[in-house]
Amino acid sequence: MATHPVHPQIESLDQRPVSLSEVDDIERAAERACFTNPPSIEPWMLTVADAEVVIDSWENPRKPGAHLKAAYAHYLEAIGQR
Amino acid sequence: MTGARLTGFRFEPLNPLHDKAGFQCGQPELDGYFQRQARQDVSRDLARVYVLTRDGKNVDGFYTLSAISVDPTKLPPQTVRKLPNIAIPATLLGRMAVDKRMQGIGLGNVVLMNALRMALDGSRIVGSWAVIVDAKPDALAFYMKNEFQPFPDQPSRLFLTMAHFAQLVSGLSIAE
Repeated sequence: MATHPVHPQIESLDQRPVSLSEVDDIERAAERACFTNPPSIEPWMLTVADAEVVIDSWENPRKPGAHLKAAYAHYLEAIGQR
Repeated sequence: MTGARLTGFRFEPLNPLHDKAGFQCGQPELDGYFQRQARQDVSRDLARVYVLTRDGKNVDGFYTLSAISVDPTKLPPQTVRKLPNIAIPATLLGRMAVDKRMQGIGLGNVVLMNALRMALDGSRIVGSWAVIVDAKPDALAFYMKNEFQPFPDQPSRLFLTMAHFAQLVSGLSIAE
């Protein structure tokens, strides 16, 4: 595992150190992203942050729009409208 | 997003009482724009600038909205089918930033939600099909998590249709 390959674009696009277990997750997410992203986006163009979104939606499936709805509710609270 | 309760904020159009010089998001390009260019863009009707503040003076965040048109041939095929083959009117979320002292507590979402709300309200006066954003690489995930979709041949440019946003926040909104 110590020599597990990390594509250089992932390393260069994210400043944060990547753990070995995270590398596994990113690779799984990248493979899966091939099916969900437009064809012009290569899986290795994913940043760690992008991959985390995919992993999150994969491992914690939510109804479409759940994040935005929650964000909007927080917004209403922040401006005293809720 | 954090679980912290954020309260006491309000949004205002940029005005002379706002402390532009005190705003620092950590990105020199955005800081420079806000401190030196934003007022000029407003006075020349090139953009509207909205400020997040708690006291009417200190600026916790800001964003800009402008009109833009989109070439429908650049959109995903399933989206294009529903649109005429003309330049599609849209709203550009040109710049968006949160002050360094206020980063990491979910204010980015608060600023984005106000921008989307204002864009939606504006689209009911002057037609606008979607909000467009040109995202920096480290912000792509943020926008995609908030339902934006990338243009097929320009993955850093993303869109969120007014119809989709309106549908998601219906029932949550303050004034429909």
